[in-house]
Amino acid sequence: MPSSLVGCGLPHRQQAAHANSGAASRTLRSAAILLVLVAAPTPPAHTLASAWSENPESAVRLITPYRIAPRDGELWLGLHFRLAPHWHVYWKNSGDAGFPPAIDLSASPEVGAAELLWPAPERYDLPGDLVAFGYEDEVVYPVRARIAAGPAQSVAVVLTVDYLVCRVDCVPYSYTLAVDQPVGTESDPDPATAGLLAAWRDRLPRPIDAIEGIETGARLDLSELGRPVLEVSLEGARPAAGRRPQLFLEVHELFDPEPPALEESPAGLRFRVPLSLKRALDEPLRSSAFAWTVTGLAGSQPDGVLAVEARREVPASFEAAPSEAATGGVRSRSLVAPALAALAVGFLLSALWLWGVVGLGGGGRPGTEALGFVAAAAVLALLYALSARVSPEDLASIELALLGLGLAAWARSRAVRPAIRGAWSLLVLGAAAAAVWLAAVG
Amino acid sequence: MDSMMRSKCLCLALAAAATFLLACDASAATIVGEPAPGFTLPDLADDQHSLSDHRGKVVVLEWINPKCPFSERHAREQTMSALADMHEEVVWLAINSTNPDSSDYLEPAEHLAYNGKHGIDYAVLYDTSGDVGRAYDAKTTPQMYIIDETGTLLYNGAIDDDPLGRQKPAERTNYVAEGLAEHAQGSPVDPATTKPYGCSVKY
Repeated sequence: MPSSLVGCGLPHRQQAAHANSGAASRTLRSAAILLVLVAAPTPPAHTLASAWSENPESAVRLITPYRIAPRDGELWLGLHFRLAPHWHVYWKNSGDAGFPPAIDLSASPEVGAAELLWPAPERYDLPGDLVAFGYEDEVVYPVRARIAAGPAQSVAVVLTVDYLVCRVDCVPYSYTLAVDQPVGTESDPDPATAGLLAAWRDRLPRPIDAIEGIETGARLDLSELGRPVLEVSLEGARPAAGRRPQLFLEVHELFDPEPPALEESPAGLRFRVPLSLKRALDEPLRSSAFAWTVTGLAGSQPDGVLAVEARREVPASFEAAPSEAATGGVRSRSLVAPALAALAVGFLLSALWLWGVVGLGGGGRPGTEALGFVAAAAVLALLYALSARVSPEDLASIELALLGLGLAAWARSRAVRPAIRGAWSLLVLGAAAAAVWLAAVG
Repeated sequence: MDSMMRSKCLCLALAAAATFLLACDASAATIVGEPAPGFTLPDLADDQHSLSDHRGKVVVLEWINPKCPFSERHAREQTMSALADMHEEVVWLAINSTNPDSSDYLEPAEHLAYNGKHGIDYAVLYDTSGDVGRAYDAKTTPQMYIIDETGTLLYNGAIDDDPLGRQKPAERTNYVAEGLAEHAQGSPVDPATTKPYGCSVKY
């Protein structure tokens, strides 16, 4: 066993100044909190870890779980972050902004095939309805690599990490972290770090195909052009105690996801993810590859929380699903709601017209004018509500029909001959029916 | 016509027109290959700029926030201004959608000073309501858009493939430079979308 082990953190570059250098007091507070964070768990002298590389928002170090690492074969490392309150670093899909950390081990010729792994993330809401996916407070990104050591008793593990740390502001940092790792024919775990790394390896999503009792499937619903929806089902899955499962999609070439809606049933879980298309398609889409991670499931991990991941070629469907209990901002496919909304709008417009006629015929009844404005405001409110449920093009068509209804009603009120009034009445009814029909189809 | 009747008709017409406009506005989208949302915004001297003013020319939109380290790095490296200078035939507009309540907000005079420091000589438009940013679904600074002569969106995404700024500018793949060159040659812009990197837009 080595008598002394070397660890160092070499901040070789900070790419930019603090994003909001004017907030000096906040930075000082963050720095103070971070000093406490970093100072408290100072590793024992024998622990194999680099020194903490610190800044006001975060601290990072490289850990290895071995006192003696295997000379050949798989080598595990950990990139250990501690973060000031409310600051976060990122998952492999950072969300609407930011970017995930990147590592470079090219300065370690005996260490190769390094892969940064991504524990189950959290979702953070940012101002402006933006979202970030990542980690607050503390995270250890496990790093899986291969080692092929020479005859020396140790190898220098030199890792450069570039990362972005954000709260609302973002600050990029870059550090080179180094550990002199003893190697031998038999590995010897370091109790101070092996447990920490193992706990975060437990939080890595498991390939869903390796989980007994949970089946996943997906369907890309393109039945409504302009409003695609990805449906992801997990049969046999249930939420972990006190947790609400969340679905995270990896970056997709064609689609941007909106917040998923979760439906729970005795059979399992289903997520509906409204998508927005990034670019017009040259030809009909038959299928598309999606990758997702689902967190917060009941599992046999030490903390009882399981995360799973899957990658599938998802077939596109141009027919609506048979049962569509839409929730959470997903457009309802039921014709009842839009039809009722359109009927309400139609009746209100008719009422507006009636009040106009009554007001005209009665020579101005007190209050009818104000009532007309109230009715108009109600029409606006209802159309606004309707706009969340039908496509903009459909809404425009509905409104044109309603405009026709209003004009026909006005013309009818001006007509004197009964035959002409009858014709206008038919037109009013036709325009109302057209509005209802458009709302229903839309 | 009786005054009350006129009021009712006016009321009805306003309701229909307003909601029709609402629907038209909501139809704006940021799908590459479809029309880019129109806008009219003031620049730092309070002169109005409309996208429609530039019909017939290629327009590049750059979402900017001088207090975002990524925007600041590109300003320092003159990534955008050098490209804009190389393409005098292109209308380059930067849009700042920072909310005035955000600590990142700069008064126009401060932005002018920043532009002078970094050699930014194209128009910077203020979108303090964030309406134009949301219409374009702009999420990061910087985020880039290329719009062709007919107003069709050709590109939406990052300025380049080097979020960390580790490579020399000449070694990076500048998606906007490539897109402009491809469009000039009559080729489709490829890639037409990339994931932008940087700070979140401070709506």
